[in-house]
Amino acid sequence: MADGGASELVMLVTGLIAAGMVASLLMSSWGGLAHSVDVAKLEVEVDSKTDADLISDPMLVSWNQSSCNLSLYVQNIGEISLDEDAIGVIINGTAATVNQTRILDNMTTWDEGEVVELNACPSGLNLVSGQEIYVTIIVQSILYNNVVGHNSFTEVIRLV
Amino acid sequence: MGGSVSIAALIVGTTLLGIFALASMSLNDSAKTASEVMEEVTTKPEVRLLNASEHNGTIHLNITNLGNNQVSYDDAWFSIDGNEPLRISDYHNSTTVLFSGEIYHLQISGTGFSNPSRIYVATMGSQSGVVFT
Repeated sequence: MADGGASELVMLVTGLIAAGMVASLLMSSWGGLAHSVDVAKLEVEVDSKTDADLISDPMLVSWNQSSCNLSLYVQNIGEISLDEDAIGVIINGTAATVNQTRILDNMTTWDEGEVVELNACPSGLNLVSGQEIYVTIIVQSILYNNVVGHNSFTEVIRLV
Repeated sequence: MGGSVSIAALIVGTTLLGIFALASMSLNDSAKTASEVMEEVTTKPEVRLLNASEHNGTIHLNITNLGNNQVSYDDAWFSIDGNEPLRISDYHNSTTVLFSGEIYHLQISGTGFSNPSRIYVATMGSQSGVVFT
Protein backbone atom coordinates (compact mmCIF):
# COMPACT_ATOMS: atom_id res chain seq x y z
CA MET A 1 0.00 0.00 0.00
CA ALA A 2 2.90 2.22 0.91
CA ASP A 3 4.58 1.34 -2.43
CA GLY A 4 1.40 2.16 -4.31
CA GLY A 5 1.14 5.55 -2.59
CA ALA A 6 4.75 6.44 -3.38
CA SER A 7 4.42 5.54 -7.06
CA GLU A 8 1.22 7.58 -7.35
CA LEU A 9 2.98 10.52 -5.73
CA VAL A 10 5.82 10.19 -8.25
CA MET A 11 3.27 10.06 -11.07
CA LEU A 12 1.53 13.16 -9.68
CA VAL A 13 4.75 15.15 -9.41
CA THR A 14 5.90 13.97 -12.85
CA GLY A 15 2.54 14.88 -14.32
CA LEU A 16 2.62 18.33 -12.76
CA ILE A 17 6.18 18.97 -14.00
CA ALA A 18 5.30 17.80 -17.52
CA ALA A 19 2.15 19.92 -17.54
CA GLY A 20 4.12 22.94 -16.34
CA MET A 21 6.74 22.51 -19.05
CA VAL A 22 4.15 22.12 -21.79
CA ALA A 23 2.24 25.10 -20.44
CA SER A 24 5.34 27.31 -20.37
CA LEU A 25 6.27 26.23 -23.91
CA LEU A 26 2.80 26.93 -25.24
CA MET A 27 2.61 30.24 -23.37
CA SER A 28 5.95 31.27 -24.83
CA SER A 29 4.94 30.45 -28.42
CA TRP A 30 1.53 32.06 -27.89
CA GLY A 31 3.17 35.18 -26.51
CA GLY A 32 5.42 35.38 -29.59
CA LEU A 33 2.41 35.08 -31.85
CA ALA A 34 0.54 37.80 -29.97
CA HIS A 35 3.61 40.06 -30.18
CA SER A 36 3.88 39.49 -33.95
CA VAL A 37 0.23 40.43 -34.41
CA ASP A 38 0.75 43.56 -32.28
CA VAL A 39 3.78 44.64 -34.32
CA ALA A 40 1.96 43.97 -37.61
CA LYS A 41 -1.00 45.98 -36.35
CA LEU A 42 1.25 48.90 -35.40
CA GLU A 43 3.04 48.81 -38.76
CA VAL A 44 -0.28 48.89 -40.63
CA GLU A 45 -1.47 51.74 -38.41
CA VAL A 46 1.70 53.80 -38.96
CA ASP A 47 1.68 53.13 -42.70
CA SER A 48 -1.94 54.27 -42.88
CA LYS A 49 -0.99 57.52 -41.12
CA THR A 50 1.96 58.15 -43.46
CA ASP A 51 0.95 59.92 -46.65
CA ALA A 52 2.21 62.55 -49.08
CA ASP A 53 1.15 64.08 -52.35
CA LEU A 54 2.66 66.11 -55.15
CA ILE A 55 1.77 69.78 -54.82
CA SER A 56 3.70 71.04 -57.85
CA ASP A 57 1.65 72.01 -60.86
CA PRO A 58 2.08 68.73 -62.78
CA MET A 59 1.71 70.54 -66.09
CA LEU A 60 4.63 72.88 -65.44
CA VAL A 61 7.46 71.08 -63.64
CA SER A 62 10.84 72.74 -63.85
CA TRP A 63 13.59 70.64 -65.43
CA ASN A 64 17.18 71.70 -66.08
CA GLN A 65 19.08 69.15 -68.15
CA SER A 66 22.50 70.81 -67.87
CA SER A 67 22.44 70.89 -64.07
CA CYS A 68 20.38 67.67 -63.89
CA ASN A 69 17.80 69.23 -61.63
CA LEU A 70 14.14 68.32 -61.38
CA SER A 71 12.34 70.46 -58.81
CA LEU A 72 9.35 68.85 -57.12
CA TYR A 73 7.18 69.98 -54.23
CA VAL A 74 5.64 67.38 -51.93
CA GLN A 75 3.10 67.99 -49.17
CA ASN A 76 2.74 65.85 -46.05
CA ILE A 77 -0.93 64.88 -46.10
CA GLY A 78 -0.65 62.19 -43.44
CA GLU A 79 -1.00 62.35 -39.67
CA ILE A 80 2.66 61.80 -38.77
CA SER A 81 5.66 64.03 -39.47
CA LEU A 82 7.82 62.85 -42.35
CA ASP A 83 11.58 62.56 -42.65
CA GLU A 84 12.74 65.01 -45.35
CA ASP A 85 16.11 63.24 -45.52
CA ALA A 86 14.54 59.89 -46.39
CA ILE A 87 12.81 60.51 -49.72
CA GLY A 88 13.11 58.19 -52.69
CA VAL A 89 12.39 59.25 -56.26
CA ILE A 90 11.91 56.99 -59.29
CA ILE A 91 11.62 58.62 -62.70
CA ASN A 92 10.39 56.55 -65.63
CA GLY A 93 11.39 53.43 -63.71
CA THR A 94 14.91 54.64 -62.93
CA ALA A 95 16.00 55.56 -59.42
CA ALA A 96 16.96 59.24 -59.18
CA THR A 97 19.33 60.89 -56.74
CA VAL A 98 17.81 63.40 -54.34
CA ASN A 99 20.46 66.10 -54.11
CA GLN A 100 18.73 68.55 -51.81
CA THR A 101 15.56 69.00 -49.78
CA ARG A 102 14.13 72.12 -48.17
CA ILE A 103 11.01 72.65 -46.08
CA LEU A 104 9.12 75.68 -47.35
CA ASP A 105 8.02 78.67 -45.27
CA ASN A 106 11.08 78.40 -42.98
CA MET A 107 9.63 75.41 -41.15
CA THR A 108 12.04 73.05 -39.41
CA THR A 109 10.02 69.84 -39.40
CA TRP A 110 7.98 68.27 -42.16
CA ASP A 111 4.68 68.21 -40.27
CA GLU A 112 1.16 67.63 -41.57
CA GLY A 113 0.30 70.18 -44.26
CA GLU A 114 3.88 71.34 -44.75
CA VAL A 115 5.66 71.20 -48.10
CA VAL A 116 9.16 70.08 -49.02
CA GLU A 117 11.03 71.10 -52.14
CA LEU A 118 13.24 68.34 -53.45
CA ASN A 119 15.82 68.52 -56.20
CA ALA A 120 16.24 65.20 -57.96
CA CYS A 121 18.69 64.12 -60.63
CA PRO A 122 17.60 61.20 -62.82
CA SER A 123 21.05 60.08 -63.89
CA GLY A 124 21.26 58.43 -67.28
CA LEU A 125 17.94 59.76 -68.54
CA ASN A 126 17.76 62.27 -71.35
CA LEU A 127 14.66 64.31 -70.64
CA VAL A 128 13.45 67.21 -72.75
CA SER A 129 11.09 70.09 -72.21
CA GLY A 130 7.49 69.16 -72.97
CA GLN A 131 8.09 65.50 -72.20
CA GLU A 132 5.65 63.70 -69.92
CA ILE A 133 7.24 61.38 -67.40
CA TYR A 134 6.19 59.10 -64.56
CA VAL A 135 7.45 60.13 -61.15
CA THR A 136 7.17 57.85 -58.14
CA ILE A 137 7.96 59.35 -54.75
CA ILE A 138 8.52 57.26 -51.64
CA VAL A 139 8.32 58.93 -48.23
CA GLN A 140 9.14 57.72 -44.75
CA SER A 141 7.72 58.90 -41.46
CA ILE A 142 9.73 59.75 -38.39
CA LEU A 143 9.85 57.13 -35.65
CA TYR A 144 6.35 56.64 -34.21
CA ASN A 145 5.92 54.17 -31.34
CA ASN A 146 9.25 52.67 -32.41
CA VAL A 147 7.93 52.01 -35.91
CA VAL A 148 8.59 53.86 -39.17
CA GLY A 149 5.82 54.22 -41.75
CA HIS A 150 6.18 54.30 -45.53
CA ASN A 151 4.06 55.46 -48.41
CA SER A 152 4.49 56.10 -52.11
CA PHE A 153 2.57 57.66 -54.96
CA THR A 154 3.03 57.97 -58.70
CA GLU A 155 2.13 60.96 -60.87
CA VAL A 156 2.51 61.89 -64.50
CA ILE A 157 4.17 65.29 -64.89
CA ARG A 158 5.06 67.47 -67.85
CA LEU A 159 8.47 69.11 -67.97
CA VAL A 160 9.13 72.72 -68.89
CA MET B 1 -4.04 9.06 -3.46
CA GLY B 2 -5.66 8.25 -6.79
CA GLY B 3 -8.32 10.84 -6.04
CA SER B 4 -5.76 13.56 -5.40
CA VAL B 5 -4.05 12.80 -8.74
CA SER B 6 -7.35 13.19 -10.53
CA ILE B 7 -8.11 16.43 -8.73
CA ALA B 8 -4.62 17.80 -9.46
CA ALA B 9 -4.97 16.86 -13.13
CA LEU B 10 -8.37 18.56 -13.20
CA ILE B 11 -6.94 21.73 -11.68
CA VAL B 12 -4.00 21.80 -14.10
CA GLY B 13 -6.25 21.16 -17.08
CA THR B 14 -8.75 23.82 -16.07
CA THR B 15 -5.98 26.37 -15.47
CA LEU B 16 -4.45 25.67 -18.88
CA LEU B 17 -7.83 26.00 -20.57
CA GLY B 18 -8.37 29.33 -18.82
CA ILE B 19 -4.97 30.65 -19.84
CA PHE B 20 -5.44 29.66 -23.47
CA ALA B 21 -8.92 31.14 -23.54
CA LEU B 22 -7.54 34.48 -22.31
CA ALA B 23 -4.66 34.34 -24.80
CA SER B 24 -7.10 33.56 -27.64
CA MET B 25 -9.27 36.52 -26.70
CA SER B 26 -6.24 38.83 -26.61
CA LEU B 27 -5.01 37.60 -30.00
CA ASN B 28 -8.48 37.91 -31.48
CA ASP B 29 -8.79 41.50 -30.24
CA SER B 30 -5.41 42.41 -31.77
CA ALA B 31 -6.33 40.85 -35.12
CA LYS B 32 -9.68 42.64 -35.09
CA THR B 33 -8.05 46.02 -34.39
CA ALA B 34 -5.52 45.39 -37.18
CA SER B 35 -8.26 44.64 -39.68
CA GLU B 36 -10.17 47.77 -38.59
CA VAL B 37 -7.07 49.90 -39.19
CA MET B 38 -6.66 48.39 -42.66
CA GLU B 39 -10.28 49.13 -43.50
CA GLU B 40 -10.06 52.74 -42.32
CA VAL B 41 -10.84 55.09 -45.17
CA THR B 42 -9.51 58.61 -45.03
CA THR B 43 -11.56 61.31 -46.68
CA LYS B 44 -9.61 63.72 -48.83
CA PRO B 45 -10.85 67.25 -49.43
CA GLU B 46 -12.11 68.31 -52.83
CA VAL B 47 -11.22 71.87 -53.70
CA ARG B 48 -12.03 73.38 -57.09
CA LEU B 49 -10.82 76.62 -58.65
CA LEU B 50 -13.68 78.19 -60.57
CA ASN B 51 -11.85 81.06 -62.26
CA ALA B 52 -8.91 83.40 -61.82
CA SER B 53 -8.00 86.87 -62.98
CA GLU B 54 -5.31 89.43 -62.28
CA HIS B 55 -5.63 93.21 -62.07
CA ASN B 56 -2.79 95.54 -61.10
CA GLY B 57 -0.84 92.77 -59.40
CA THR B 58 -3.79 91.47 -57.38
CA ILE B 59 -4.96 87.96 -58.14
CA HIS B 60 -8.69 87.30 -57.88
CA LEU B 61 -9.71 83.70 -57.34
CA ASN B 62 -13.07 82.05 -56.96
CA ILE B 63 -12.60 78.83 -55.08
CA THR B 64 -15.09 76.26 -53.79
CA ASN B 65 -15.01 73.27 -51.48
CA LEU B 66 -16.89 70.31 -52.97
CA GLY B 67 -15.92 67.95 -50.15
CA ASN B 68 -17.58 67.24 -46.83
CA ASN B 69 -14.88 68.67 -44.57
CA GLN B 70 -13.69 72.22 -44.16
CA VAL B 71 -10.32 73.11 -45.66
CA SER B 72 -7.76 75.15 -43.76
CA TYR B 73 -5.92 77.83 -45.73
CA ASP B 74 -2.85 76.90 -43.67
CA ASP B 75 -2.77 73.58 -45.54
CA ALA B 76 -3.64 75.03 -48.96
CA TRP B 77 -0.90 76.13 -51.36
CA PHE B 78 -1.04 77.87 -54.71
CA SER B 79 1.49 77.85 -57.51
CA ILE B 80 1.61 80.40 -60.30
CA ASP B 81 3.00 79.31 -63.67
CA GLY B 82 4.71 76.30 -62.10
CA ASN B 83 6.73 78.34 -59.64
CA GLU B 84 7.36 77.56 -55.98
CA PRO B 85 4.07 76.98 -54.11
CA LEU B 86 2.96 79.68 -51.67
CA ARG B 87 0.79 79.10 -48.61
CA ILE B 88 -2.62 80.75 -49.05
CA SER B 89 -2.81 81.82 -45.41
CA ASP B 90 0.40 83.85 -45.90
CA TYR B 91 -1.51 86.04 -48.38
CA HIS B 92 -5.05 85.84 -47.04
CA ASN B 93 -6.02 86.22 -43.40
CA SER B 94 -9.55 87.57 -43.30
CA THR B 95 -10.86 84.00 -43.18
CA THR B 96 -9.08 80.83 -42.11
CA VAL B 97 -11.12 77.99 -43.59
CA LEU B 98 -13.17 77.17 -46.66
CA PHE B 99 -16.35 75.47 -45.57
CA SER B 100 -18.02 72.60 -47.37
CA GLY B 101 -20.07 73.97 -50.26
CA GLU B 102 -18.73 77.50 -49.82
CA ILE B 103 -17.68 79.57 -52.82
CA TYR B 104 -15.16 82.19 -51.76
CA HIS B 105 -13.57 85.08 -53.57
CA LEU B 106 -9.88 85.24 -52.64
CA GLN B 107 -7.83 88.35 -53.31
CA ILE B 108 -4.11 87.74 -53.26
CA SER B 109 -1.58 90.50 -53.63
CA GLY B 110 2.14 90.85 -53.08
CA THR B 111 3.18 87.69 -54.90
CA GLY B 112 5.33 89.62 -57.37
CA PHE B 113 3.85 87.88 -60.41
CA SER B 114 2.69 90.01 -63.30
CA ASN B 115 0.65 88.76 -66.24
CA PRO B 116 0.42 85.18 -64.92
CA SER B 117 -1.11 82.59 -67.20
CA ARG B 118 -2.05 79.69 -64.92
CA ILE B 119 -2.68 79.08 -61.22
CA TYR B 120 -2.77 75.75 -59.45
CA VAL B 121 -4.07 75.11 -55.93
CA ALA B 122 -3.35 71.96 -53.93
CA THR B 123 -4.34 70.95 -50.43
CA MET B 124 -4.08 67.65 -48.60
CA GLY B 125 -4.47 65.48 -51.69
CA SER B 126 -6.84 67.68 -53.67
CA GLN B 127 -5.68 69.75 -56.65
CA SER B 128 -7.21 72.17 -59.11
CA GLY B 129 -5.80 74.45 -61.78
CA VAL B 130 -7.20 77.13 -64.08
CA VAL B 131 -5.87 79.61 -66.61
CA PHE B 132 -6.19 83.33 -65.94
CA THR B 133 -8.91 85.08 -67.89
